[in-house]
Amino acid sequence: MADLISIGQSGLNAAQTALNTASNNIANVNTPGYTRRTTELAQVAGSDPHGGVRVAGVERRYAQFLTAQLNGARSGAAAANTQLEQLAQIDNLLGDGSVGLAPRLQDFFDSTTAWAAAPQDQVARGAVLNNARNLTGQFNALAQSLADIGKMANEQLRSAVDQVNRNTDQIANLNRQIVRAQGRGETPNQLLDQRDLLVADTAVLIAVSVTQNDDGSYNLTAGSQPLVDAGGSHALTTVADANDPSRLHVGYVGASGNVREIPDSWVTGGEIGGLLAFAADALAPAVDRLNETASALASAVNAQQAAGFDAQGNPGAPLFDIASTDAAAASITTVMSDPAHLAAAQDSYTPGDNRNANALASLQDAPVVNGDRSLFDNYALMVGEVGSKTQTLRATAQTRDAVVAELTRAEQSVAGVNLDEEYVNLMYYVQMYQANARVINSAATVFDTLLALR
Amino acid sequence: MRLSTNILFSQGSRALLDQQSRMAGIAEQLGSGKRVNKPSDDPRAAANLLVREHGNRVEQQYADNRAAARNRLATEEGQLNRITDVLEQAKQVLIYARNDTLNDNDRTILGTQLENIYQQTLAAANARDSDGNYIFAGFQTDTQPFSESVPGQPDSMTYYGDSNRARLQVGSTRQITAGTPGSAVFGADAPDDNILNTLAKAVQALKTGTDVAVTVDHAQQQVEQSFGNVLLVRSELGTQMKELDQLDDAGVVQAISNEEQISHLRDADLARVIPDFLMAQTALQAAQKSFLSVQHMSLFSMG
Repeated sequence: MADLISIGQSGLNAAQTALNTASNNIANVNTPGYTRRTTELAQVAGSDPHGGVRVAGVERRYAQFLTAQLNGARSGAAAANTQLEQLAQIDNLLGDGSVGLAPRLQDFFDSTTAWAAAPQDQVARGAVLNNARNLTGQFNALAQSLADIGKMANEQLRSAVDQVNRNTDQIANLNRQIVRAQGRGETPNQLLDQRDLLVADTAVLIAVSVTQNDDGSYNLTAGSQPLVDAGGSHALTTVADANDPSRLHVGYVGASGNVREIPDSWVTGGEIGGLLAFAADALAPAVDRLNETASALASAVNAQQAAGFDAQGNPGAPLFDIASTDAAAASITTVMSDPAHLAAAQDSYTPGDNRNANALASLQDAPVVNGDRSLFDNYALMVGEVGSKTQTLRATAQTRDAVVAELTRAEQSVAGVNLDEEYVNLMYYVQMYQANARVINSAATVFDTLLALR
Repeated sequence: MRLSTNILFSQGSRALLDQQSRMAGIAEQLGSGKRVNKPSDDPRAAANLLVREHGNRVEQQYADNRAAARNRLATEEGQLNRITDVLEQAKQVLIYARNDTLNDNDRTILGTQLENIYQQTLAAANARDSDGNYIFAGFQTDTQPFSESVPGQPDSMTYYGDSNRARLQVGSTRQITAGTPGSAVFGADAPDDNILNTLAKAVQALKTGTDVAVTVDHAQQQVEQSFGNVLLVRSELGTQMKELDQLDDAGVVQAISNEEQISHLRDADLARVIPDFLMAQTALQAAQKSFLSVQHMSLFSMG
């Protein structure tokens, strides 16, 4: 009888634990990083032949390999998506006709042609200067927009690096807590969930590799640098490029506080990898093309000016100036202020001589960029490059998102909560509870029967 | 495969978002009427469009230059037409002047007529266009091309222009000269050897009665030569006008072809976009319906 009661008691306890587990699963159905638990039951072993049931453990259904794969996929997808978000800004910038360079370039050359047809016309000369100013203003604005996009990307990079540092700090902290808890014989499921969630969040920022130590702590490596070393963490930082201060790289803070630059090629995934790739593969080439176009325009037009004579009989003065050759588009200006300084004539000034003006107007289709492309071709090349990079990245991001979705499905098929399943569990363990209550009830009846015998 | 409840929901919402962004993309094409709204929509078309649009504008520049050239040629032709008439009159007057039966009075009258002709020819030679530029001065458009080197001597007319001809780009491979220098219309070899001085000398001979026969003979020859010369220049102008017309026709064809190419590269094909839009709409509605039904499929909502 005592056996019956203790067996029933063990069943009641086990059912209650299982109901708790199911309830906890239901409660956390939407909690990020939550790994569903299952109640593992076992019979009571040992000398007692009648036994009973015991809770062998509340298992965390953690899919170790799928999680590692998923984290890798998250890094890849985040890199592609971040790069795409940045590049889409340039794509949109060039798609907007009002800020595009081509219309202003065209207006300028239209006005030079009109001037070549009427070289002594003051209005035509004035129009050339006005359109030159609009054109250089457009170069400056476009360069500024690209610089702004670069600045924003740098800000994002800094904040992502800070977030990595906060995460690794917390992971190290959790490592210590987990090792202590396990030392006490506990199963710190909640801490484990927290730590895995932090690793997943970090993988979105930078590609990480994780190894587990024997004591249950994690080691985390990114960019070939140890970020978490069991209970300790090491910080990342940003370092300005030696040649171009507007570019940032990732740096590793050593034990003595010294900073070592990590080559971009080592930092492959995550938001950080995506931002570095954007700066190197998309932004810099676009800026280079724009600078190339501005330089070619200035040198070709100024050379043509110098070859002719202006309305005051002097050799043609420069129309454009570039203050800094490294930032040609940002620093190009229209330096001529007197329309009479435009050099229409060829050998010496005569008012009807339009030969140099004709030559200047014909520069619009001359191969002035590196000797093989016109200004328009070069700008079209830049637009085409940005467009096809964006297009390719969009496809890459879609593919990688699909991989993440597929792996998430697989990982969640192990670790995720299914409410229907938990509903069934609730029903099942309520029945178990009721049945065990009946066992105790039966024991009482048996006991009462025995008492009644006397 | 075991499915987590979250996956069911996130799958549903992902499908919704995908369909929505697909629809938004098609709606953008419908709204703008363009299939290339940013370079990544079709990178090659976007780059090609820039080149084509530039080509179109250059064609427009040529068309503007052709209009300017036609305007100049017409102005020049107007003056040459006037000169032809005047030289025709000069020929008549000189034929009368050769008549041996003329008395002094007759010659004076003819001299006055010829002087009038001289003035008209001079006015035409020094004519300006609507912008105030001298037509027959070569590049020296702000210098009066014919004036007396010795003030008060009508037979000291000297050409102060040059022999240059302004060129205008009227086609991708065609420049046209717009403007004949005065030396080529009125002159001979030296600056002071021109039809104006010939006429002035004949006027003087008729008025004074000295060396009439010799001077008038010479003048007749010169006027005849000059007359032929002007007709030659006029026929050149006519040829140029005709070429401009042909270039205009070719330009129109080229512009239409460019516009077609640009439209082909840039514009959305509504016959394709509208069915696409309707299909995307149907797909979105299907995704919405399936999401709603999945949402209600739970033992909790049944039990």
